[in-house]
Amino acid sequence: MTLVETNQAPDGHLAELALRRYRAGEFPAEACAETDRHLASCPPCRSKLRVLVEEQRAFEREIPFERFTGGVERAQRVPRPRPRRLWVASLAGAVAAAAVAVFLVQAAPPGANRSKGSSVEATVRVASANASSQRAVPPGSQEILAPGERIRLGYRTADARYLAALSVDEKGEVTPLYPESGPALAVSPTDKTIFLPDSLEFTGAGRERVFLFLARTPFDSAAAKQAVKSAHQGSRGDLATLPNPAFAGGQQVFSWLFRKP
Amino acid sequence: MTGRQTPTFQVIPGEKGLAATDARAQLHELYERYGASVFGRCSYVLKDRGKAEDAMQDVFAKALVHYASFRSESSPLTWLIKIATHHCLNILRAERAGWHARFERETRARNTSDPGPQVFEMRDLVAKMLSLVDQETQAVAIHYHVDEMTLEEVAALLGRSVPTIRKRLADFAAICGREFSP
Repeated sequence: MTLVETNQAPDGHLAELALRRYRAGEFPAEACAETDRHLASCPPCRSKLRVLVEEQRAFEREIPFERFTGGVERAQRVPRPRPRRLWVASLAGAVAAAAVAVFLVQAAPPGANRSKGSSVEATVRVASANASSQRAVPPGSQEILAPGERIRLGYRTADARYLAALSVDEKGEVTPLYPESGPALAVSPTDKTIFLPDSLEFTGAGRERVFLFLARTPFDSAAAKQAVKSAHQGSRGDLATLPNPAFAGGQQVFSWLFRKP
Repeated sequence: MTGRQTPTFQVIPGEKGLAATDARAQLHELYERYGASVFGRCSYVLKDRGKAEDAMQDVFAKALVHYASFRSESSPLTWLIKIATHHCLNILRAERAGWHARFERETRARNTSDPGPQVFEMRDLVAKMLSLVDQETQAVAIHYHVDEMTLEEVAALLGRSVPTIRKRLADFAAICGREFSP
């Protein structure tokens, strides 16, 4: 099968993504020549390609390079304050937050992994709905959240690590938080606590356990996700007794158990 | 927002962000090769050019942070399209748009027409139906019907099995109509 054939849509024409890759110069010489030959004999594909070329021209007219560069650099410096996860509290819940008593439970659940003097540390900061007050929540804690309260995850490490954070709810749904997919984030040594971008807000009832992994060797967030799933299945869905998940990579695990409002 | 610290993520030395290289030249390459494709995907999903521009900037910022691994991808475009699709679907999910916003989006989708010949008509049909299905099915439908990737390619891209992708597409077809059958 030729390279062009593998990039053909069921209708026999080149797939849109293949044409975009061709326009972007991603094809090796041989595939490029094959595509050239196909285009020479296929008016619909030529027409499609012309649309893509014009699309790039229109893009450059609408968003000049200087504006593009400025926007990307700004996004690099200051990630947008957008929840990574879709936990959006209802307006009624947010309004009610001021009247809700909040209290902290300091009991560490089984399997909590935190030792004093460790080269890595993690913390969670909880902010009230109107951001008028904050409190720190150490790993291993159970925490009851009031409506509208948000959390931020922070870490400190004396050596370079690879980081991923995930959460699991009582039904066993695991949500990668940082990163959302792909390899764990490489983090540099730091002597002050670094807070991950964006605050997270839970909705719904029940409990949610958040895990933060800091490993010495690279790993993929999919491996962490699978480990959390397995741990959840092993504990029969009881988040309070959920052991710290383990997988290859020599990771240190921190966790918090939240009761959602 | 807790709003205490500057939310920065540092990249360890050697992992290569852009510090040691010509960031501007790399940005220019990304702009010329992939700008329209990524912006197009963001506009397609978000149906709002302002939000799409913000989302596009986020996607390219991610690409720069992971530039070394990004460049080693067999198809950087495929990587970008995956990230852009996922990012925008997450934005929509985070917005938890109410019925009025969904209605507005669907109305806009209905009113959208291609400037040229009907070479991309499937994308409009898919756009009208996206709000009816869950996020994973949305991503599958976009990659399969709009990007015209094969079942195997979508499966590899999303880290799922081919039968899972086929099932998602069947679900999508069941909800949205027979023309979407895989």
